[in-house]
Amino acid sequence: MAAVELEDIRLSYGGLEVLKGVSLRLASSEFAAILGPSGCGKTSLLRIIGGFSDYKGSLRIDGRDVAGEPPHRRNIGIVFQDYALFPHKTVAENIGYGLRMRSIAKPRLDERVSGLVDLLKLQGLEQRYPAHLSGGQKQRVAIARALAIEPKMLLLDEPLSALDKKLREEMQVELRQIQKKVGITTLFVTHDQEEALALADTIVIMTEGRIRQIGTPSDVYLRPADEFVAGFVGQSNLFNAEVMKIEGATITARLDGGEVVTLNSKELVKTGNRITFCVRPERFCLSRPDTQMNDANIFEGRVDHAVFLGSHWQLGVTMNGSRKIKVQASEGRSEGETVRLLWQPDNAIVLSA
Amino acid sequence: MKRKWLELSALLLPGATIIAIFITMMVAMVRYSFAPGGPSAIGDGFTFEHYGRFLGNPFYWGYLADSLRISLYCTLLTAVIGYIIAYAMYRSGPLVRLIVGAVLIIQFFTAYVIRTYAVMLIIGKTGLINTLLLSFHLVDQPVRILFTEVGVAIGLVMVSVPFMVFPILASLQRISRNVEMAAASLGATPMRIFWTVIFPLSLPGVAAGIVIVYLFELTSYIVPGLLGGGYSDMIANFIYNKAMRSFEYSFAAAAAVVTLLLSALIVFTLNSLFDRLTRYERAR
Amino acid sequence: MTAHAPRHIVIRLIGAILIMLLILPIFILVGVSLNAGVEQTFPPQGLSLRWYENLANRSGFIEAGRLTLGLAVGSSIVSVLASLCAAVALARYTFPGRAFVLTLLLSPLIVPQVVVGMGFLITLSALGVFNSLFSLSLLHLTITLPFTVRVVVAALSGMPASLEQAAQSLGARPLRAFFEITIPQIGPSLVAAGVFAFVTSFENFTASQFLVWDRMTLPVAIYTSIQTENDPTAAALSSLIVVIVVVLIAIFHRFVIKHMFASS
Repeated sequence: MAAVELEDIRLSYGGLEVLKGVSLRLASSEFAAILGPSGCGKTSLLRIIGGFSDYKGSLRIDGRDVAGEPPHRRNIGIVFQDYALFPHKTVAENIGYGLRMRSIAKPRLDERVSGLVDLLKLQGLEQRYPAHLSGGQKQRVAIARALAIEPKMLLLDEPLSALDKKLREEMQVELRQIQKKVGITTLFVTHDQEEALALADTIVIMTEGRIRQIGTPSDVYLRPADEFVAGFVGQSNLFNAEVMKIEGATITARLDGGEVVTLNSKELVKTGNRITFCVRPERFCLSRPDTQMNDANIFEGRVDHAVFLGSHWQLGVTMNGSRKIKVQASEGRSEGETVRLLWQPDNAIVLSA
Repeated sequence: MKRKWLELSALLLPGATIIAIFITMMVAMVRYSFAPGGPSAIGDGFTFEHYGRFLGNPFYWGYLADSLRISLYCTLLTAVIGYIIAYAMYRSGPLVRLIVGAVLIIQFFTAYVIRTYAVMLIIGKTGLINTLLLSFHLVDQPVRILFTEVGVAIGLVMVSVPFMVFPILASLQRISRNVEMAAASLGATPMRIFWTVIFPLSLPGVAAGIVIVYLFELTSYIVPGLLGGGYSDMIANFIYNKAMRSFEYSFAAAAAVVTLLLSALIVFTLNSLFDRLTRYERAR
Repeated sequence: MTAHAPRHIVIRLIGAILIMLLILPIFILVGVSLNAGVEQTFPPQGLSLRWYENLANRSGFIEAGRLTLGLAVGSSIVSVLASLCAAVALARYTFPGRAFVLTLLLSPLIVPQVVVGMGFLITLSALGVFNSLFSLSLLHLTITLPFTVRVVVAALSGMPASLEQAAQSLGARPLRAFFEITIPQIGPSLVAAGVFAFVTSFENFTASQFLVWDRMTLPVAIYTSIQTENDPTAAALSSLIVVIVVVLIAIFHRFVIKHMFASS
């Protein structure tokens, strides 16, 4: 399976710099996601790897520089956002297309196609045309077609964005299983952070043509590199504060609104520094009369709105009349109610100053 | 990289060649319109004499004026008739639309010469209208419609209607169904819904149709030629006669250039005017 | 369906009357062509197919018909191919002035027929070219090109690029991907473009008549016949053409319908 190295990839399109020096390394059999908002350049990156776009910089696949190599020789399987199934060919013909290009003999071709039909659970649909397939079925045909050529890597462009929630979750599991089974190096592109967290070994966060962080899902969630990542992956509440006192790993800081909080962090800060830290909504506890206070931080505020989402409540709380906090709680509160929010110093994520 | 430019040039070559020939012809025509010389001569040199002659003599530029006038009222008539047909189609079921659409498409694809000839057979001395009038004793002698401006007008309208129907119908079909229901729910009667909602929203189509039809009628040759019989020549006939009968090529070219400029001006003006009137359409 | 049909009965009735008035001429045409006598009357005085049979003897019409057919077939094929190449260039390559190139390709549409004819006449005369076939071929190519460009460009831009890219990623060389994947997708539009071009060329009169030196096209022949002859001959020929058009539309209606609404 292929290992991919991108070094300082730059791309400009009509005066606009789309990619501003992207460097990335993918190991063989790795399952990586490029996560970022629309327009961050992630699809352009995919097109560059696939061979459909010019670029500046170096792209090496399996140690070999592939500059100038046309797409039909790269042996990379691509699953497009709109699936790009050939409307005038049946499911079986679509899947077998790449094999036809390689002049594989019919018996072998048929065998391989039926193997993939089984793998992607498309039995019974071989003679159907794409127009008569559901979204999920089309998705699977697109994957089967890409896998048929036994590519050295697989590229997926927002593969699950067109599917409804339940189907998406099913496909996420299936995709992971297939990838593990076949062991193929996979790079997929998405703006859905839940999808990235669920599927990938490695997540690459991109915005405005640059990479902000590369890490495992928990790296990216628990130790975001900067404000953007903290805000993009999961929800966050950001606070600005001035460091008052440092004792080992315990930082005492004063918020702009005057509250004093305690944070535990390994970040190197000095007294007097201004820092930004983030507390995830699910890290707040609603205090009850019997709650242990310990050394938790306490925020007081009024409930702005309360939305019941089935598995949890989403509350908007206004602190000190101005600062708004997002809270995810297991119980609800009514609007206008006063609440006390407790959170542990450990749960503060200090972002690079 | 070099290869891409080579490929690109090769691909554009056939189309570009044809267009280049076309543009050369047009440019040459402009050039020759400034060439001195009378019948059968296209001399060297530069002169405004042909333009002077055309624009200076009311007898000559009168053809242009007549064409503008006739096309104006014919286009308005065509617009009304075309709108009614388009709207009737819009309010009918798929079968009716198909049949009417088929009729219009057949009209569309039948040569103007043939269609105009068919009109001749209706308005001529021995044609349908006169036959009916005579047999019902409404007149003693055949009425002369053919070879008059009225005849030409009838011909222009009948030939142009299909051009008007399609853009209007397309624009009517682009109106969201919900808009009508919303208006009704707010208390508008069908009449008001039409005038305040549907008609304004269909205007872009009407505008497109008017531009196409006006230009077509303005420069029409066949209809005034066959139905006017020399008594109601329009500018296209004038140009042809000067070129092919008197062989005054340069003079005819000058008239053609003036007509071309006028057409461009009209298209530009009408488009700007209609653009401003239908500004709301492009907010989406 | 929008509102209740009964509420629109008035407008639909008026519309029906107008449509019938519109088709009337064609009926009259056919009727006149069936006249047994030489008068072009309607209703026809006596029924006969003699004027149709007579056409077989009219070598002038037959010659003109052949020329016109040849021009139409030739220019539609060349135009469709030229526009296909140009459409690929416009859709798959980025270069400065793309919009301008498209405008240029469509430019003959905005020039009045009589001006086009005049331009060709004067230039060719000045150059001393008096060959109708050559001149008419150039003319018809020029006239048909914008129609085919419009249709083919719309078709190609309506097709997502990802289809061809998918084929390439699976190992198809660019040319093969184009022929196996793109062409089948835009096939119907190519046919429609061909039909439009054919009809436009076949029925062209105003510009073509300027270039009638040694040979004339069918519409010109019909026009001349109408003005000079006083019998239903022209009516017979015209009706025949109408019948052929109806048959052609019946065969090709699938391709043509959706392009009727293209605005200029």
